[in-house]
Amino acid sequence: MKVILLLGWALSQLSFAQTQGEDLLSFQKGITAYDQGLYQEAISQFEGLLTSDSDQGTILYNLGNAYFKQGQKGEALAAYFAARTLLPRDPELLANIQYIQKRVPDRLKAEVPLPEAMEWLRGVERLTFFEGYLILSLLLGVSFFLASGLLFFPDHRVVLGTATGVGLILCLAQGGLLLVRDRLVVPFGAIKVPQASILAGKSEHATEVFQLLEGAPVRVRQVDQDWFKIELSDGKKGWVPRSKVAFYGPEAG
Amino acid sequence: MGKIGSLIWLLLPGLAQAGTLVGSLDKTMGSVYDRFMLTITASGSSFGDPPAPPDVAGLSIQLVNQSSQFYMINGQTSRELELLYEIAPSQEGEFTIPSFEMEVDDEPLKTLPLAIKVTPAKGALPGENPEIFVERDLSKSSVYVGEPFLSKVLIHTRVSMSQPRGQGSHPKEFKQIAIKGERSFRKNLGAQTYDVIELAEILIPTQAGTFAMEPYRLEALIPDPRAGQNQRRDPFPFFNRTSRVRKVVVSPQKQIVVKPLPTKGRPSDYSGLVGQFRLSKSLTSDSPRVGDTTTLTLIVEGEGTVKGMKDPDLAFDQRLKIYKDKPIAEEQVDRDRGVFAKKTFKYALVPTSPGEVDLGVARLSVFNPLKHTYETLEVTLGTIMVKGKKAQPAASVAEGGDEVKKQQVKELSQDVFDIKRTLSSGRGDTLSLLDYGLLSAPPLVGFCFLLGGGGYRFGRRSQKARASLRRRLDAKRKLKALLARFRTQTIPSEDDLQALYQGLKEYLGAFYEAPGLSLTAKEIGELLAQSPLDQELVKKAVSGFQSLEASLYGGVPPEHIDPKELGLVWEQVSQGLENAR
Repeated sequence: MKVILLLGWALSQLSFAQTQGEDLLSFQKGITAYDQGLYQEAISQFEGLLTSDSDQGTILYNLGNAYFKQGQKGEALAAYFAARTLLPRDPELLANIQYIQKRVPDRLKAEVPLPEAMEWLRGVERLTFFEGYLILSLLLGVSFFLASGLLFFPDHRVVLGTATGVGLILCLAQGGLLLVRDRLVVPFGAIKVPQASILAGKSEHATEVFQLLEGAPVRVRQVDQDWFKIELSDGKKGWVPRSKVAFYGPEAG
Repeated sequence: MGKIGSLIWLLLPGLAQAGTLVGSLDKTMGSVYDRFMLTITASGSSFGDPPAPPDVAGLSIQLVNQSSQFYMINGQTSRELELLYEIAPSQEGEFTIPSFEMEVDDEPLKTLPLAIKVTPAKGALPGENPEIFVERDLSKSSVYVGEPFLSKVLIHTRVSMSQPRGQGSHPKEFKQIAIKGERSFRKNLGAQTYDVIELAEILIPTQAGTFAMEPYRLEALIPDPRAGQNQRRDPFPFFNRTSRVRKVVVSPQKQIVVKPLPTKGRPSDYSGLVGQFRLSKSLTSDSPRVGDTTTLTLIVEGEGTVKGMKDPDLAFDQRLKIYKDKPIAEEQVDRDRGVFAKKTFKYALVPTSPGEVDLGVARLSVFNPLKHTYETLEVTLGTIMVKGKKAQPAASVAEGGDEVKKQQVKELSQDVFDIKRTLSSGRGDTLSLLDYGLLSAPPLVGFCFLLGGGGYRFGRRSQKARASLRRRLDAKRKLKALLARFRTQTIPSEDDLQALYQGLKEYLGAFYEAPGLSLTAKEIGELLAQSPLDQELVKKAVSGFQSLEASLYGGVPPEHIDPKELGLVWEQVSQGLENAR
């Protein structure tokens, strides 16, 4: 029995390593195509890796570069916006977003609106998902550790009790920040056609609410077959055909 | 009335009392400023609807008044209906006014056609000092395509006018820039003083050709000119004391010739500007440091419109990075000067190398309609002396990470940063097994500490409790045996006294978890006083204990001790304590 289990484990490891190797190969092919100026080929390679278990932040970043080199600013921005949720402090990624946004006509913000008094909370956007939970985990561990000290050192009950209380309060605060982060860090899409009419309903005959130009960042709030319900950073909403928006996030807002 | 008339009527044959329909003109000749009055008079007993004015090109015909009268002559009654039409010519020429048709006494009658002749206007004042007239004035009679000109409508009136409604348009080949508001002034024409209202607009032709400007048509209520020849302007028109008639006047037609821009001599870099323009420049700094921004401002301004013009082509030195702002165009319109426009181009120049940099010359080719030729505006942009060291390329900026200022990245990068060439482990958006291990380790370790501490404390407490219980049970058993033996004796021996004395202290010490051998009678009394035992029993027990002490250490003979009573008391005490527990 033990032999069978060991064999199964070894086979799964072998399969995992093989998949990793294939991903790496596609990634290298994408880089080579990019270096040779074959941007469409690079896009194909990088897009093929979007469902893999490889580093999605890097793949989306490279995809954005390839799209930009091919002149598709909307697609490039959408890939960068998705990469930003995974690499929130990457200086090159942030610079590239800024660079392209300066070269598109609709210079709208790609961020979830917050009340002015809560703008300071935007700092949590710079934490990755993992980092946020690591801080919470460390705080929780320290709180438990301090609480156990109460058993061993009853004479220091006041100091240890206070420290444990503070630790638990920090845990709650960090938990709250993680909730805020989950609300703020959402992948934005971008308009990928030169001009898109944003409509009041899911029909080509619906009233036009406003227009957006290529590269305008939009937050996808709802998906209904071939239509996206989008929202801008200033709160304006409307429907737009899916074919006019580049979006690399989960298909709900 | 001295007017020349044309009287044509049709009678139904054989009927002396049949209805009549007569048309007459107050005059058959006048200038374009003159107004002709056509009166249609119908006689009979019943009338149909007033005839609609016919459409005649070059004439505007409008029904302005109607009145009726009733007659009784020799017992015969008759009615007369008078319809007054005003004819306003908009161009010179000979015109025929077609017949007017109307039912009189249920019979269709019609007038014969009438002819009028309209001559060109002579002088500024229209003939016969009309109460109201309209002129259209164009600032130019010939312009080039794209050359703005002023179009004014002047409404002259020497009587009070109310409810004015104007209507005028321009050919679709002209773009219009409206001039808001109107200007009013007084003007003497001949012996008359007119109030003049001036409406103005700027027109810009977009196509070459000869265009007729549509006459401006004004409709207003004015005092009835037939109410009295000497009627003067009503100082209180709002009381509406005078009878008023609706008056329609139209301006004479005007033509304008639009010439195409000459192809001969047209520069290849022609900017599309038509007018008199100037070109100027300014520079925020002529000695910037490498990486600093200096702003070059180019201003094109002058008489004409700047909409649709091409941006000037500037060839900058390769050592400069150029960031161009969106140009700002401003246009001001003035009813005297026409269009005055200004367009500002701003370029942020970021030098990347030190040294002297020549900015070159800015050139702009425009068409000057006054000179009928193209001309090139030039301005020398000068030089800048760049200080500092050569800037690092953008790629190395990225490598600088946080040490590099964001501003530098913004200014120096010419392209997006390069792709990433290595993959990190993991997807990045989901947690791997290792991540889960790392995240759960701190709380797990902390929780283990808490659990271990709790277990340790619990274990320690149980051990002590078990030892205490064992000690108490042993002491109890021992005391029970001692008391049983003590009660059987008449005079206890010193050994028995000593054994009982020690046994009591050991039992109480074990019961109260205190060092039993050091207990004194007083302490025993205090401990037992806190128990739920009967206080009399407690007193007896403490007294018995004191008697043991007195016998052992006070020299009191053991005969003074009643072993049965002492044994019974302490048996009751130990039993009571055990029960209370």
